[in-house]
Amino acid sequence: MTVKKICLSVIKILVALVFWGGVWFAVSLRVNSDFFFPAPDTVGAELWHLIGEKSFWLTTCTSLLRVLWGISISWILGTLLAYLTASSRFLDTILSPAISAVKSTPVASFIILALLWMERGILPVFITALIVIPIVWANVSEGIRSVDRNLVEVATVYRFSLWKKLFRLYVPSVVPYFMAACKSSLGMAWKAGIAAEILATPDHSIGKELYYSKTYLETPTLFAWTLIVILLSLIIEKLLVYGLERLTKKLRMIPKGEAHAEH
Amino acid sequence: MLNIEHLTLRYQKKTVLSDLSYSFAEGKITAILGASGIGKTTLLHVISGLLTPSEGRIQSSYERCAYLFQEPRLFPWMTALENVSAVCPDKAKALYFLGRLFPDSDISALYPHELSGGMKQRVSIARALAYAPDLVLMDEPFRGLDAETRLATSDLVFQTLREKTVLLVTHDEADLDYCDCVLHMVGSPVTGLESEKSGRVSAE
Repeated sequence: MTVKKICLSVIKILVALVFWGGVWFAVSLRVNSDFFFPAPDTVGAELWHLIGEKSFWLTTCTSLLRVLWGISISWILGTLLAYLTASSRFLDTILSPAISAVKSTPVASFIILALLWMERGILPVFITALIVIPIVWANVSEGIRSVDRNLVEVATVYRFSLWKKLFRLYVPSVVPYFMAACKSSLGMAWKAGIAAEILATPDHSIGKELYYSKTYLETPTLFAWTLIVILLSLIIEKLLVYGLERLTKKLRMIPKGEAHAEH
Repeated sequence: MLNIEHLTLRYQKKTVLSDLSYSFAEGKITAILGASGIGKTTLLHVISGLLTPSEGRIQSSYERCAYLFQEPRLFPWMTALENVSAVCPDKAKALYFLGRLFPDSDISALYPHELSGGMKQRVSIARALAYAPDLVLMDEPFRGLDAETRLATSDLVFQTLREKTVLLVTHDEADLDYCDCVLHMVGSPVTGLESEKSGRVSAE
């Protein structure tokens, strides 16, 4: 990316921030109540106050770890399930409807049920994984289905070993689909994880802070924590996608010019 | 040794090959001719093991079989050199064959989408040659090459594959000059391979 392009994208972001900040400020002036709609400066002050507290970092890092843990599990299990359903018609018949059902079930239903089954601390991890698995499964399955049959024939004729078939044929074919799944599931993972924390209120969690803000009618704190969630979501998404793209390029899994395939 | 015995192949409810038997000459280049869609490619697919015969069997003493498909079939995420090296771990050998196929330019670091159709086909030829096969199946291997490149490439290929068993499906009469034996597919579905006399007139 050239310096000009970076400057241009920074300007774009700043323009959008100034515009929406202005809208926020205008609405807060109109409402004129920090209880119903706090002004940006009030939320900023609250945010500054929160950041200065030791417990803020513990809370944020614990929530972050829970969500990342859930995402990691879902990437592994989603890919494994996709492999199983693609390689066995029987397993596909059994597992596909179950995964589709999970996809259509409201997150809140799972959270309430899971509250009965497991510890509060693990629940956000479980919910995050449960919500992201179907997305990873659907994309990776599509990737496996789209593997070029002609190339499979080449690998068969030239007697590629199982290892070679996997890393020279299947992984490079599936990686763009996996990347698309990662990108689209990160936001969802955060929302599901925080929603689970709000209902389960485990110790040291953003969800618990949001819940208490609501209970004690501390609207500026609620806004401040919500801003933190949004910021963390954006940072994590950018970092993970950047890291994955670097890794796949380094391993020469994606041809030049096709590294950003979207599906 | 490459024998097909009472080979029948039904494909998508249609019989393509019916009770076909033949012993291919060892160490010779055999051309297989026939009308379009008669089953030439299907026969090569069965011999290569990509299709399983409905009846009959194939007896083959060859361990390493290379197949030059009608299309180049290169791995798009690999460079030309990596495509060749994928079947031949000896990088020097892979580079040697790429150099023979591309004497005027170094395309080893280019990806398939950076190559023309004819160049891709030549990379796939380099891949087949670098594999060091005992048996080579060719399905119109020089399609998409201009006349000059085609001549140079076919000379190189058939000289390299001298003494190897080669089955060549072609519609180009110029290729027949390199062949020891020419077979015509007969019947519909194909029931036999009829030979015609052919002398080798290659530049070797």
